[in-house]
Amino acid sequence: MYTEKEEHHVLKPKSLHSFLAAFAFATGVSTGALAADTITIGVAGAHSGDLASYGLPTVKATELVVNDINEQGGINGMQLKMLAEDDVCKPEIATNTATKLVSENVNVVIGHICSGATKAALPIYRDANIIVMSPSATNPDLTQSGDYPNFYRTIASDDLQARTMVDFVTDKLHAQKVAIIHDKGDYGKGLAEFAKTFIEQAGKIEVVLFEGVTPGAVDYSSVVQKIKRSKADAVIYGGYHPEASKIVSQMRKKRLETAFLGPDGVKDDTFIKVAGANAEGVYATGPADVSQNPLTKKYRQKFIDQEGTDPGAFFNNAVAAALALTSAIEKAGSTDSEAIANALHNETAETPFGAIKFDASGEPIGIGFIMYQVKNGEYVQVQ
Amino acid sequence: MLEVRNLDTYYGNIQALHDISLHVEEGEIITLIGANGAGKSTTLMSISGIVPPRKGEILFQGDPIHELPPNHIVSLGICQVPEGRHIFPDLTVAENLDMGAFLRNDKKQIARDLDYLYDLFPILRKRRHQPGGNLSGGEQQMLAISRALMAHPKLLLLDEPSMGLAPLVTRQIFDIIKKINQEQNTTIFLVEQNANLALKVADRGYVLENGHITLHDRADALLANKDVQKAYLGM
Amino acid sequence: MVPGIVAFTGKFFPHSFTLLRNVADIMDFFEPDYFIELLFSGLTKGAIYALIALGYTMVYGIIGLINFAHGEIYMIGAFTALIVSTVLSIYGFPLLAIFILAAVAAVVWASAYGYTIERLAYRPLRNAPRLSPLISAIGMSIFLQNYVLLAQTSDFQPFPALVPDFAFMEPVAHIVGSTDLVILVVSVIVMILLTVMIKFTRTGKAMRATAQDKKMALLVGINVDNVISITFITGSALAAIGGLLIASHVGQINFYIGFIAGIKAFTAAVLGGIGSIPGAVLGSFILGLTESFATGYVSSDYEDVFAFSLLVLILIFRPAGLLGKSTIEKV
Repeated sequence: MYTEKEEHHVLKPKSLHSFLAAFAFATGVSTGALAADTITIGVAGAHSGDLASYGLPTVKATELVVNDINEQGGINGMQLKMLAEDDVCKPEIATNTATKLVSENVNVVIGHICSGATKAALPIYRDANIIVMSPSATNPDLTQSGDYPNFYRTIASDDLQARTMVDFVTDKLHAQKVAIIHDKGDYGKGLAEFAKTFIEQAGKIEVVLFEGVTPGAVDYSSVVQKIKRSKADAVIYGGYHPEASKIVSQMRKKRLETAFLGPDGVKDDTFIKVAGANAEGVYATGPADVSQNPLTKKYRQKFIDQEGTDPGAFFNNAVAAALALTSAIEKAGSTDSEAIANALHNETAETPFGAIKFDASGEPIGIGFIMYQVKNGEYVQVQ
Repeated sequence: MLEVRNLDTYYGNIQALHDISLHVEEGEIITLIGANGAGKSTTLMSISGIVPPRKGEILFQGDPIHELPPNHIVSLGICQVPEGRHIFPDLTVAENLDMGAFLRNDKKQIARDLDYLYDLFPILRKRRHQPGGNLSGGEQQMLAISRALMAHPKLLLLDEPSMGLAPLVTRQIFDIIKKINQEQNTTIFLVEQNANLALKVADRGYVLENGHITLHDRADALLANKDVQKAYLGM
Repeated sequence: MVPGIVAFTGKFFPHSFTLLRNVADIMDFFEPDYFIELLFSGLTKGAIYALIALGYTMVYGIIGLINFAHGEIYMIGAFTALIVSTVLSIYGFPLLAIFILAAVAAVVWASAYGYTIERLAYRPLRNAPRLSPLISAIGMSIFLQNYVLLAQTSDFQPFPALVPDFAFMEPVAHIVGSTDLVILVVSVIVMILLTVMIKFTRTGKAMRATAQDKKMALLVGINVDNVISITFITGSALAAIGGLLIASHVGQINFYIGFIAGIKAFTAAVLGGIGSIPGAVLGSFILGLTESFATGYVSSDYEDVFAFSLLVLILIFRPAGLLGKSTIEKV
């Protein structure tokens, strides 16, 4: 559901301040982060322009975490510094941003915000052996290509929902044949294609139908008949709830009781309201509800106290990135990239999403999608 | 019966009729002759209410009708057979005739009138289930006149009934016009380019030039008029 | 001798056996059950399109205007039915009564809208250049969409199933549902009534006469303005019935449903020959069946591609549509 766009920015006074501080520090000490008594965290992303609303919450989140840690005496006696750089979400600017942060000898980077900018910046960090953790770049390639071992993220990748659905269909529903239907849109079709690829890669079960439907059509019964003929055990749907409720309702009216799975576009109360009794038993993936997590509450409150508004997009993800990185540095007892990576993979960190760590490709374990099912007119988590 | 006083009619900003005055007495046949574009059809359309006049009055049996809608004028007993006949092409002959009686409710009398017309034009009876659009020009003219007669008009406005017809058919149509006038006592207002023919059946005639009435006389007098002979009778 | 004969037949009818096998293959490919299911899907779709397409074609036939606001009339009919059925179900009316009363309310309300739109947006432009009423129609469509958007939000509203699952339909429910049956039956009844009205009643004849020759219609004493109003009312009533049935079929409505259904129905009307009533019905069923079979045997990805390719093909060979008449400019 997260879309990414490219964008632009000017440094905030606060960021400029820390920038100057870091600059003074960096000129004073040559290299060797271990020897330093300050740890610098670079924050890169869109801090100005149309997409600043995606990037600025990350700056604030990092600042809040850094201040917290510094107040408690820093990490292993070292104070934290934050250095924010704007990439405007543009790949061509992101390379400059990365070069600049590298030349300032940052120890780790939180960012970038947009997938395109992130991808452009990553080789520069990789060559400098700096760990990068994005709170918002969801492009699956960033982790799956294997090109960027220094990359981590605290957000589920675009294909994770598809992965979650495919795993559920295979392992929990024990389906043999799957029909994949989508609404031809970017979101729905992209998801459907990921699901298809995963099923085919695994080779355990079969995709018996892969079709796009026209959103808003008055009738989907011919597609329903097609699903029936395909003898699928489960339908994976990529798209939003209006079409999903029409398809499910027409399936049930045609006495087709095949399991139906939708993405977070379907995990919407309107779906249940509209499909009524036919919604019963429908599965949908969605993010876990973290609003009651103590860390979520704590940083949300801090943000509101300082800014007077609700934190914006990716704030929790950014807090999680800052916490995961600082916790890894602490546990590694060093700012050496390999030591940090080791800690990220093996030690859990407490975040607004709960305890998380990272798999070998850099994807977060513990942030993602869980399966819900409609029971008695409500989405409940599938155990 | 019909009295037209000082009529001015416009199409948009273009004035088609200038100060037209004429009158039609009950039971007579009058004719309006003139060249193409003189305003003959416009005069009829103004009387029927399709192109209402901007100035002047039209009185029918003493009452003003120039502000009434066309359907109301028809209901008073003024029917028009327009130029080009305007048969409803996809309606059958019988349905076309039925449309003529649209404003009537006396079913029995309608059936009698239909019989009368079918006797008058036997070809129409033969073709009553065919679409009007399939008829020949002469048959369509017969149908158009019959359709108008189905309304039981007091005043029948005929626009160019001879247009596009073979001479033999034209003569037949004019015979019928005379017959209707005599047998049904229907007053007839005839517009014709074929002035010779028109003046022969008519009692009186008007000559229209460029939207002005230039002459008015008994039909036989107009036939004898040198100017009329020169301009309209091709002599 | 016998081998000779075999050789002989084989020589002269080399395709006879393959032909037989091909027939079996074709039967196999079409799968009779599946074919029948798709057939019913297509017929239901066609019936839905027809109810809306008739309004387009009737208005076009009478005044030569493409009434772009027609889809919105359908949408308003659906909303009226939703509001009435919601209220009535609160008072515990039986389902059949709700269905009938909702239908009556939808028809009356949508007709009132149709009548008003004509009076306000089209009649003042009767003698204006052709483009003016067209623009006015588009404006009316946008206005009504936004008006309902403001009143009802853009969210989909659940629409109650006004057609219960009939017990007698249970054995064939996997092929044709109760709602589909009701849609088919109601559309057929409505179309028969419409045909009877057009063909035999005084009003119907006046409509046909007006459509064929407006000036002559005036000259035989038809009140053409009334006929036009009645045409809008009839078309709106049909669309409202369509709105009720389709909303009940798909179970949800919002302000935008009229646009999508309207485009398809308009396509069907053009396909059949806009202005022709049998043409609209024929075009609708052809469109519905094409979409259904294209989805069933090829892919729903190409549902619209097939539908519009068909339209283009038909318009190439019959520019006026299947049953349309090429219009001759009258002088």
